[in-house]
Amino acid sequence: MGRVSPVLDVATRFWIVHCEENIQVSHQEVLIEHSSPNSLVADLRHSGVDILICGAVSQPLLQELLRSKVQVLPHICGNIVEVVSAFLADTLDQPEFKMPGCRADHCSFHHGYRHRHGRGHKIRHQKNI
Amino acid sequence: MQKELLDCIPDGIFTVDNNWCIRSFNKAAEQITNIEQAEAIGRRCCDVFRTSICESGCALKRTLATGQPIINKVVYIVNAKGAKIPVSISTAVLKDDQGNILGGVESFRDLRAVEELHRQVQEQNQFAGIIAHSPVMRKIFDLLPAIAQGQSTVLIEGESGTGKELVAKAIHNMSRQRSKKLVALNCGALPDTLLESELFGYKAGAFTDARKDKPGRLALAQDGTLFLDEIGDISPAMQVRLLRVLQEKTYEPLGSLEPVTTNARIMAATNKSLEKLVRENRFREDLFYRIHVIRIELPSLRKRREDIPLLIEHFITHFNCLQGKDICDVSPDVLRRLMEYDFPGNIRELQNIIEHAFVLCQGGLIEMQHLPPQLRSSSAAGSAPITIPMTLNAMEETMIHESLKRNKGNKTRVAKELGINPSTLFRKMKTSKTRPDFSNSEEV
Repeated sequence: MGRVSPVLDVATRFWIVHCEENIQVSHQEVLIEHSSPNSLVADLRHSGVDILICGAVSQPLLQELLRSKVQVLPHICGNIVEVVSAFLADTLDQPEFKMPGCRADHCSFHHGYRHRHGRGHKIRHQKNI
Repeated sequence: MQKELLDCIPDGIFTVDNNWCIRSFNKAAEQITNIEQAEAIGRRCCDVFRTSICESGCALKRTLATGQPIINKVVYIVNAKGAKIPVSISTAVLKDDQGNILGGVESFRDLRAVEELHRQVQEQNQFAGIIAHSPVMRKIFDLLPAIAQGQSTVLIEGESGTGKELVAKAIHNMSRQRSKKLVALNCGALPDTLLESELFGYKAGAFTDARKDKPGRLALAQDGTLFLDEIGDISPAMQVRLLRVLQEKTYEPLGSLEPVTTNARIMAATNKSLEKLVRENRFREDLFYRIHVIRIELPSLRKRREDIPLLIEHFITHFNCLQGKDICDVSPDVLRRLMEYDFPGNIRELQNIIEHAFVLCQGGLIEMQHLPPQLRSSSAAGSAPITIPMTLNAMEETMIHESLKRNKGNKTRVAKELGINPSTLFRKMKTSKTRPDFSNSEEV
């Protein structure tokens, strides 16, 4: 298993995790070739993604994601399995998962994310092989 | 000492160990990435540096695998604030005194200021989408806003491929009618009967297949602009009908008994000399003077060779975007060849040459072998190949020399052709080695 891609804007491989009651039910890897923020966001919405965990993301793409009601957890780094486990355990705010330079004014947990305990949802990770 | 030295360098520099963890991170790196040194040290380089190629083709990884440095590769990084920053990166292997590999070093230069300058220069070198910086084109650009504000008929003359339609669009887009349509019609492509129905439209029942009314281009251009391309090719009968439109601002659709009034602004273009056609009795004089209210003569590309490098750059950028390629420029040999070529098809031909080269060239520089066959041999241009390295001064000298040959030494004509003042030409000739021996020159 790889690591979370450092830059979402150029990532093409996505790891989709389906969760119910804070338990990972299934996962799959998908390839999305995208030429613009719009096409990536449309593909993510089409796959039913609620939450996106990713590394660095440019402002235009982040804004496009937020407009589309995708909850974004940017500036996350580390091994995908560990990141997913931390997400489910609500411990993704540990320093080892934060990219350097992530401060409160533009940090992942200031984009409206609250971990929704007890609800089923799909999340998506970028995968770095 | 080493740290202080690195901090003095304006380029960002970091080093990694064999596990891709950052070991040093200078001040400039902090400023460009917005990440403090203390935060960066010990972290994986891709989590700190975050370039567009970290995942797909890490330059440092390639350098450590091959031992070959990478110099000035242009990529972008996404900094901590989500800003995309263009940087030029260079990589090298880091070894100890015994030659053991300790890791790698990467330097990166912030290109934001360069890109901004480049953008400003590009803005200066284009006007409403027309790429040029030659004095002769600048003079035309200066006239266009005033022309656009009026309602007078405009005649645009120029060889095929010189951008007549672009100029018409520029005038329309600056005019008061810009919110309305610019309707174009190529008069040379249609026989008389078809041209008439296209221009004036027809009523249902006007002829066998006319089942319902069809508005003509004049009606579509109501409140806007009608652009008649290749006006010199219309028949004498059509010339009479067009003259009526220009004189009376009315016309009758085919099959209609009622005249229709038009307020469309008429712009016409031709690749022929209408004046010459009038002299040859092939174009009505009265129509000529109706059209010839404002005349713009677009120079051929060979009369504004200084625009060739700019246009090459523009087309390379255009095709890179279109085809997803990474071609950076043309080689000096190719530039020299294109600078001496006469371009009978003008800018359209140059565009086709670059498009042809894009098919054959996979990346890097466009070389001679990527050009169309007729351009590969320099004899096609009627001049011997120049083997000296082409600096700007040398290029200038060559252009002056070629122009002197073409104009049989007439320096006034040379200055006009090159778009420079005669005194500038004399000064340049004095300082350069351009002293052709023209025994029959027409010294003016």
